[in-house]
Amino acid sequence: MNNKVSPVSENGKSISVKRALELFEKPYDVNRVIDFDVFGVKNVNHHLSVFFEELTRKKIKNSFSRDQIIIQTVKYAEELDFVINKVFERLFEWFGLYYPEASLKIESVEKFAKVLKRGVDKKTVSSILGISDYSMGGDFEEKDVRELESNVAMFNCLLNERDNVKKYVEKLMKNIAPNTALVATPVLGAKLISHANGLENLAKKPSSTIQVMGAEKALFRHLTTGAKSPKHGLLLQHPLMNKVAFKNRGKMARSIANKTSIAVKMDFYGKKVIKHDLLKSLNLRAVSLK
Amino acid sequence: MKVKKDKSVEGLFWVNRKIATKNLVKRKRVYGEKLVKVGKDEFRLWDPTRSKLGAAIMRDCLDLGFKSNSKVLYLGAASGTTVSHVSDMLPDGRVYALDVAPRVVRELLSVAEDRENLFPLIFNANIPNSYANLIEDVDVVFQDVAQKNQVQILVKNCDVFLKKGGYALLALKARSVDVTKKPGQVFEVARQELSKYFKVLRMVKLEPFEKDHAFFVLKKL
Ligand SMILES: C[S@@+](CC[C@H](N)C(=O)[O-])C[C@H]1O[C@@H](n2cnc3c(N)ncnc32)[C@H](O)[C@@H]1O
Repeated sequence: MNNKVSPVSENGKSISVKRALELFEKPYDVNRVIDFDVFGVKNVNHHLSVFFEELTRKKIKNSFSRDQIIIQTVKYAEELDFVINKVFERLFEWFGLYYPEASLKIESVEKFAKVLKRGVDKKTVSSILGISDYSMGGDFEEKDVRELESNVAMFNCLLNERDNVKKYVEKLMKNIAPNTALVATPVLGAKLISHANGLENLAKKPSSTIQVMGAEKALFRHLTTGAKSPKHGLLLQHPLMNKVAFKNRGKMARSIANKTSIAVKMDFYGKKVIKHDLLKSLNLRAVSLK
Repeated sequence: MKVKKDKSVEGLFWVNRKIATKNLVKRKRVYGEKLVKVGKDEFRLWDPTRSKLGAAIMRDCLDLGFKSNSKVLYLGAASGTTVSHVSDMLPDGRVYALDVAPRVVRELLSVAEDRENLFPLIFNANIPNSYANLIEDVDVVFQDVAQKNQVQILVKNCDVFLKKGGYALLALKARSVDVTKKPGQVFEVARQELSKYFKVLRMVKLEPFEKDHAFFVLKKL
């Protein structure tokens, strides 16, 4: 394929697609021209097809960068969160039909998964929780209990998968965007990269944009109806946001956005040396906004 | 099934009251469109809710400058929905289908692999110089990039690639240009700007097929 004649001529001679592809890596060279006369009129289109398709395949290949794996991974993590919540709601209802006294004691995802790990039958659960197995719940047959149990096992697998994915995001972030991971936390940093569709795009955004990323609807309302401008979007998930007074959240978000913006630029343009001062000054800022 | 050639647009057909093009690649669909076989020919129904050019045709834009051997530069080709119909219409022509996003060109490429008159390119339409040496002068420039500076992008590219007397077709998305202004206002500003460079032959709104979009048919003087 690469040795086929291309529609490109160099110094008046037709050259191979391979050679042409090398030349086209430097897109601004004005001395290159397409010479359509090289081919009989009949197969011009065929040769052009071969050439442009190969050029495009190559560009697609070269367009890959590792931050794209971050984007897929963090989106996968978000989808897992969604699925886990849905499945939890269902299994909680299902289990409540059988043993409501126990279900009231395990209303969070984590507790539910942990307690039911060793079995869902009344005997096992009552001994783990230290409650009576006398219950107003329905009399499940053995096979009904087994079915529920295998669904709960599946649910636990989903939770494991979520942990694994979060660890993988952390690894990727520390490797590809260490300063962003430091300042914004790995998962939030990854979400910002995903939202901007890449580290490069995020590095080009002003910090004012980073501050309201994820609050696009509110921003749109602000621009069109004059409603209040949003103070934060995704940045609300930053751990330091919980440490400041409610009325100071806007200020804190602005500081986080500023430092994140610097961190992202260092990760994209710089040498990825970790700059711990960024986080230190943010911590100090949070204390002053308590 | 009755098929009629359109009286003014070469390569356009009417199947009952729906628009269609003659499929260059038999039995292959591009975006889930309906295929209709009539005698030896196969037609692809052109869904005007999925394609702004299709919508413009339904809104009576019939003088578009396409001939069976036209050379067309298509900016913002995406995965090839509209481009595939343009390719059908120009069996003896060439369509240079350009988009900046590798993700969508992956799909465009697989459409192009079946069609010898369709060439995929990954470039930024803001920088025509970066592909000036790859593309010949064309009879029609079509642009649907949904960007803030859509008008300038069109002007720049027509400067470099469009022949004198050639057609420029623009699908303008009001929201991309300015979310805060009323669509009508955005279209009017664009019309005035465009008339500095082109003769404005038509401007139609694409409702009900596409919300807040206008389609311009322009001629290079
Ligand atoms: C509305 S979609 C086009 C749909 C397509 N014309 C159709 O009807 O099938 C807009 C496309 O423009 C592309 N685009 C945006 N900015 C661009 C640029 N500067 N250069 C080239 N393509 C661009 C986007 O990647 C996107 O695929």
